[in-house]
Amino acid sequence: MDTQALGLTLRLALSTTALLLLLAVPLARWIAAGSGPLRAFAQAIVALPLVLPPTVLGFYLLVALGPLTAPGRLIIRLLGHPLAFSFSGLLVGSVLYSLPFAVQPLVAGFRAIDPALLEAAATLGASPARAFRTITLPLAKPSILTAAVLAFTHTVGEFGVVLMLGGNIPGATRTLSIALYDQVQDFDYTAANRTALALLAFSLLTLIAIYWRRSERRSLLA
Amino acid sequence: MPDLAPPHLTVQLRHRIGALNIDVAFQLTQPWTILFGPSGSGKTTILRAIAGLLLPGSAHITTDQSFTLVDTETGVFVPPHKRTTRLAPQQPSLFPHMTVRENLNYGARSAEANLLSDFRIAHIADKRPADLSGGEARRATLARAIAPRGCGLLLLDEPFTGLDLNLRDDLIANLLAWQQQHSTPILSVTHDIAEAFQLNAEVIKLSEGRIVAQGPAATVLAEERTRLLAQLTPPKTPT
Repeated sequence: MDTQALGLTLRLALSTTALLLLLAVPLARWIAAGSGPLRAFAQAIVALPLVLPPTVLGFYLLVALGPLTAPGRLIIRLLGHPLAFSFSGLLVGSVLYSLPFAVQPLVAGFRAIDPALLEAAATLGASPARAFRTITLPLAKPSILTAAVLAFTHTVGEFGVVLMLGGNIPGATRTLSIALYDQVQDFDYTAANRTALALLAFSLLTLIAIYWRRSERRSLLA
Repeated sequence: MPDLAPPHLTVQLRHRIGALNIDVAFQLTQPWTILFGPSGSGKTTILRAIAGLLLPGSAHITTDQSFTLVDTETGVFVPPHKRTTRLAPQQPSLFPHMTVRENLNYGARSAEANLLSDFRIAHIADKRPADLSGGEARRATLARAIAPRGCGLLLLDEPFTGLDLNLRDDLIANLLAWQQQHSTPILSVTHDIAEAFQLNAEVIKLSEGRIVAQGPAATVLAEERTRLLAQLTPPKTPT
């Protein structure tokens, strides 16, 4: 198997998950805290990658990050090279593409917390920041874990965005799913088989782990 | 000379919640005051406004040191965590991921040990809320509300409803002892006449968001008492 592609895939998935959690936790908390047209708009934007062909997202990012737009030119001036066809570009695409998978479980988790608990914390003298750290975060832990696992596995499995935005550069943008595509194009079915099996086994095992944890928790509560 | 002391709290509040229009003005001058009224008369909303859990439509609330908690005219609103009011809500709201002891320590760095025994929760101190009975959860919620030091006003929302009489007497005795020790005023909410008489407190009688009477229980609730006693007296059997 293409170990370079495997290493790159894991590095991308880990960095994406870490960045996503930093971004998704405050975003989900804001969405969960109320209602209104602004939040509906934010939720629609977040959910877009669920329904959009990945190639569309990849295309827009390719254009936006390239020399044709002002932000793209700024990035090129700062980094010395365009974000497209680089690992950092891939990271930006992955974060956007997996955003709904991280935000949606978090919103559900934050909304499930009884507001009376946060009120109780406030009347006991806890600042909103302390209440978030000591009440909201611990109670939302299962949702945070689900968000992290889904973001990670979804990034491992992405293809369209990577191909559009990253191309197929070994060691920089060539992930496992791209390597698989390449192997099939080369009629190397033995290698393709191994790569496909590795991806399948990984996804299946992760999902089993999630559902197992859920059923354990349910039986603990019963 | 209690009449010369400044009131513990001065409240002017106008707030609309659903179909109910609350419009009240009162002062707390006695150690224990009761908001008395049927459900839906605005009692809980008044407590929540004093605790800072809702932004009232129009309000002016000041403490005994003339410290303004809310003044909608000048835009003053002290957030709940910066007030010294402590609220024990009607529904126990213990933090489910903490033990009873950790709950009590949440507002106080280390809660007094006798609090656990006074409220008869020492034996469940290391249990999680999910493992408590309804009565135990109520007692723990009460104990948690008074655990932090420096409580300026204790707000109790139907603290004894649904508890058996022995336990209620116990809790009242404990709260009165705690109150004497800390000289903290208490404002509680009830629709139970017996409770109002038992506490011998000042009563503010509410009806549909308005105050209809304020004074000692014996005066304000005389009518309710007569009606209750009539209900308790067995009807005369015709001879």
